[in-house]
Amino acid sequence: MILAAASGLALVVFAFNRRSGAAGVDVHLGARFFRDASLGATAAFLLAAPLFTVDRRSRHSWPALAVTIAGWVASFLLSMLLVRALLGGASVSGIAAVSALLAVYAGLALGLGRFAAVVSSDEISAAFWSYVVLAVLASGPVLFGPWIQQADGAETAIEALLLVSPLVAVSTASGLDLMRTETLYRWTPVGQMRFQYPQWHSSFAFGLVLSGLLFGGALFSKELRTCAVSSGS
Amino acid sequence: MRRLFWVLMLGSIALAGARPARAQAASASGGLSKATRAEVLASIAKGLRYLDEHQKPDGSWESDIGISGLAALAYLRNPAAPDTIPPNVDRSLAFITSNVKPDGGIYVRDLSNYYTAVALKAITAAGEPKYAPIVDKAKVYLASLQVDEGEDYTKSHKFYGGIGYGSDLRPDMANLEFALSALKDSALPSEDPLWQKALLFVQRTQNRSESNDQAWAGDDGGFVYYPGFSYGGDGKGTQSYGSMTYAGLLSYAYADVKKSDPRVEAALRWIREHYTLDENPGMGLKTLYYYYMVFAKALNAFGEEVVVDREGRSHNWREELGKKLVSVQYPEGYWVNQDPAWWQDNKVLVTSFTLIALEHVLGDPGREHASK
Repeated sequence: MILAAASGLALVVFAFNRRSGAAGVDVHLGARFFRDASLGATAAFLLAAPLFTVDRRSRHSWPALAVTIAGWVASFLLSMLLVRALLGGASVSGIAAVSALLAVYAGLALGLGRFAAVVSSDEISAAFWSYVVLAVLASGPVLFGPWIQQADGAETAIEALLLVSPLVAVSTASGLDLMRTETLYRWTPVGQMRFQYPQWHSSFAFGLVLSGLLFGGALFSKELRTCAVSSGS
Repeated sequence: MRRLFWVLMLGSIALAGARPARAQAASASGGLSKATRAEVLASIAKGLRYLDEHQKPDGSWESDIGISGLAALAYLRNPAAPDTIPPNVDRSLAFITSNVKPDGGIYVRDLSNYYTAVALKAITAAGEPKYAPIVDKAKVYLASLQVDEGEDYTKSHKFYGGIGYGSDLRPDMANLEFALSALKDSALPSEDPLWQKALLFVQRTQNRSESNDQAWAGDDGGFVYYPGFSYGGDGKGTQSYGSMTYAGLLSYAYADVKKSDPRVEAALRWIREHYTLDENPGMGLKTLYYYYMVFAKALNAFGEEVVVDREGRSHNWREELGKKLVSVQYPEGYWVNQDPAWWQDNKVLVTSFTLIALEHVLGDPGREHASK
């Protein structure tokens, strides 16, 4: 279902780009499709993953979730390799980098859902806070860029925001200069600032560490609750 | 005797009156006064000393290909420089060429058009035969960035013929001007189809409905950032503004469009209407020093020595710009913009822009070409 949603999103973005003529200067149709599919898959993964873990009574075991994520990523990887074989354009290293990032961001979203489930009163608020955090991470450069533009150390600050954004990491790995695309360049000052996009493995490492912290935090909070309940009884 | 006295008297009055008038005529016909020329030369020397002090051990400035390329250009076009390449520029060129990619581009990851274009200009200006293979490949790379049939665009598309940052979704006038300038410097033949394709994009960024087929096109002759979008005014419409108008005019020069061409005449008309050195017209202080650079390059390229503004005042732009830039130089030798947008809080970058502008104030450094 997730893969279908990702493919659907990718097709919508691709069709929009073709129709509006906003398509890129990259030579290959395949490269363009890869870019759009990568962004579509990221959005779908980030939207879907927390739903598996926000429910505290969820019957999904961790190994089952790991296999599910591996399945999504493998499907993406194989379909992109197929597109590459048919249309060309995307590089194998780019496809591998995006796949690795998708895996870690799916893990991050699961961890966030789990942590939110432990610290929230119900599933609805857990899901709500999970999405708020993901939205802030993803759109941080656009949200905070205008504020930090005039500040000292603006370059470091904007690079930090770019590092933590899943959308930036995936778009950069897929060959898209996201902050200088027509819409974002027009409506935010970020593209006018001096910065270097993060290397994909830096974003990957950040995602991995944050996922670990979230899972650890969830476990710790759960332990604390259990202790509190035991001592209360 | 008395008659002779009056003849001599009247003659000397006439001569005395004619002297300032002749001096005024020289000023009105353009060119730099001796005093300003000396000040500009001293200012350039001071600016170059500042750059010297801020070069990194690896030969770069700011560890950045683009800034290093512009700084190197400032040295290479210094009219007071010896014919040999200064050792610090040699080290800078070594840094720049260490970033050559297998595709021919000269960049790290982002901004591949800007970096390759500026790097190509610098290594072309150096004129060293050892760089010839790099120049050839970089030209091919820049040309490959042009949006055309290869990217599934037809001639009717608003972006056709443009060049953007390199890996993003849209071309713009500033990126295109840098690319065309580099391709002109490196002698891309004038019969190459790239020029005609580029002209289509240039026309579509000009507010001139006779040559711009876009519905939004106005008729003031100025330029916008890319077809349908301008940073000028409130940044939401298609208002012409200074830096892009000079960049557009320069692009016409690179493509060998003559000064008598109506598209060029329209741009020059806009320039006369909006002549100022106090701001980038339509943008305030934003990108002011880039504006000064393209201002000097464009007027130099088209041999406009005097600009008559909307109130009928004549401006000897070389004299005025020279004095202006000398007056805003900091004692340490650098220039910097109060508005930080588009990296103009970077002293090395802004100093390089300004030095290049001053070198054009002094006369044609021999790299900009226009059909007059």
